[in-house]
Amino acid sequence: MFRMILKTQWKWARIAVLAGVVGAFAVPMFSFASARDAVSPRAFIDAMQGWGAAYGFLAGVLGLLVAMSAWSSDYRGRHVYALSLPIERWRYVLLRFGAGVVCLIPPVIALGVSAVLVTSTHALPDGLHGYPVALTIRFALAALVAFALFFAASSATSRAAAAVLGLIAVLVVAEILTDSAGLDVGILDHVGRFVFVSPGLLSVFTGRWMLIDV
Amino acid sequence: MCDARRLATCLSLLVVLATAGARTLRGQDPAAYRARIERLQRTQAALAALAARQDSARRGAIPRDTIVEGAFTILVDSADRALARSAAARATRVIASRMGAAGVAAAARTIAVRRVARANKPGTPPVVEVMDVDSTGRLTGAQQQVADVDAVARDLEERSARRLMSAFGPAVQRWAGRDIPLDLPGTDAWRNAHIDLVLSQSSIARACLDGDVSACGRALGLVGRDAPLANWYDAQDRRFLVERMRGQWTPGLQRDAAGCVAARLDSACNSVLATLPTDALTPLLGGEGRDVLRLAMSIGGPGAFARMQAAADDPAAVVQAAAGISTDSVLATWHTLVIQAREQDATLRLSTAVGALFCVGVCGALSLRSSRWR
Repeated sequence: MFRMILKTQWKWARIAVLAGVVGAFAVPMFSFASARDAVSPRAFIDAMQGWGAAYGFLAGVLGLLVAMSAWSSDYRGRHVYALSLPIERWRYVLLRFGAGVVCLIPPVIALGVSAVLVTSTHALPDGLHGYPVALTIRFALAALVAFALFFAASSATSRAAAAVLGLIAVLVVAEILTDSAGLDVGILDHVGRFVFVSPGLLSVFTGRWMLIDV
Repeated sequence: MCDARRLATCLSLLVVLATAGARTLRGQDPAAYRARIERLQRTQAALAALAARQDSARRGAIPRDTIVEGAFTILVDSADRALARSAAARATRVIASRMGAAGVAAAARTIAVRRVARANKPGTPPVVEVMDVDSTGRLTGAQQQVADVDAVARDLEERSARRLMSAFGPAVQRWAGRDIPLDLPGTDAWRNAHIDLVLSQSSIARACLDGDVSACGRALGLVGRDAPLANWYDAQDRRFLVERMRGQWTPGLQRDAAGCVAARLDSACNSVLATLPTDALTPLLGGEGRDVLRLAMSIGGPGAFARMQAAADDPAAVVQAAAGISTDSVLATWHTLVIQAREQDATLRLSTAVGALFCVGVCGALSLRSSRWR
């Protein structure tokens, strides 16, 4: 059954996955090409860092597109196909999730190959080192997190979506109220740190994505 | 008889001339002369200030209302009073939290805030001009800002930071920059310092990276200011310096410069570099001095500025006064933060990976529970 689900998932997501493969292969190459003519190691690092956001963006978009493609057919068919299958819902969801994760593998491999090629075939400035494996693992984790987030959001009921939006609204209102009362609480600041600073849930997206660093 | 009358007239003339001469001579007494000049100068300055004010007022330059809020006396038109008051209160809060009462007192100044009249397109935010008012009433240092409390408060903070730094001598200003840092030190500063240390070829930077606090002090230009050439650079740095400035040496120094670069004679490097003014030499981590001061002030708390004012015109003395602990202790803290920043900044940390997998697990579990077809 997994093979069938994977086959349909591939059919729906292949364009996004292939575009992801091309993008993931290109980013390390372009980042090195932009930094190659840097006048100093410091300028080299700055140029490489300028491309850091591209890795996170690519991982996020890839996760979003694959997650959306996993559920779009069920929405269109009003879940008739899923309901007609002789398996429990949780198993069906797990199969869809697994198929989506498999679709993320080709871009991750493309990024790894490209990163290894860049760091092994070019001379790096003195004092700098290549981190192709760490960067590839980080990209894989970021794509996986994005996929899991959007997969959960797509499968959620409208009540769950309303609850999440309501929670965000409560936080924003609390921030405005405490700020206007002159209390320096910084609720959104704390929430942001909880989410985006390591080991926060989305901290894999923040920080420096460096293929070559000190 | 006639002779007697003539004699009396001559004597009278003599007395009048003598009296007038004595009065003139008394007017040329140096102390009185100086006092008169000073009085005239004061009168002239007061008249000039009055003329400048009248001139500005005639042109509608100086706003009419005056408000006093925290460290600031603000000349402002009634329409912008609330804006100016809130901005001044906010800027004063920031200065007080970082510099204490001494900082607020030192930052005290008169500012003018006036609305900029311009043909705004619909939706374009209104703009105000923030200016310093000098002792003669002239408006200087005009900066346009969006008419918004945050923007005006930031402008006031920047002006105050420059004013507070002007209380220090040239050595401290050269080392720490034109303005006193009012913000807290951030991770970026330590990360940049780490990158600079790692990329430096200097043995001093390497020693600093390995934990030699004294080497860090030399690399940052905190110590060894009496002989920067010997203290801030090793032989290789001096050679690189001479090589980098090749073409700038006078013909008389070209031979020594060649001996320094080609024959690697340190004595030749020293003799060439000794011709440079001391101010031309910058420490290896010259740009990081400001962050060390920021760190020292955050360690020292709001009383830091008052202590700094009493310190001599020497960066090490100012850092020690700001922190309230020895310069070596500040440098040791700086070094720890720099090393920690590197560890936090690794391409992928275990905690980050664990956080990501936890997020995937939570989202997966939510997906299994939730159902749209239920």
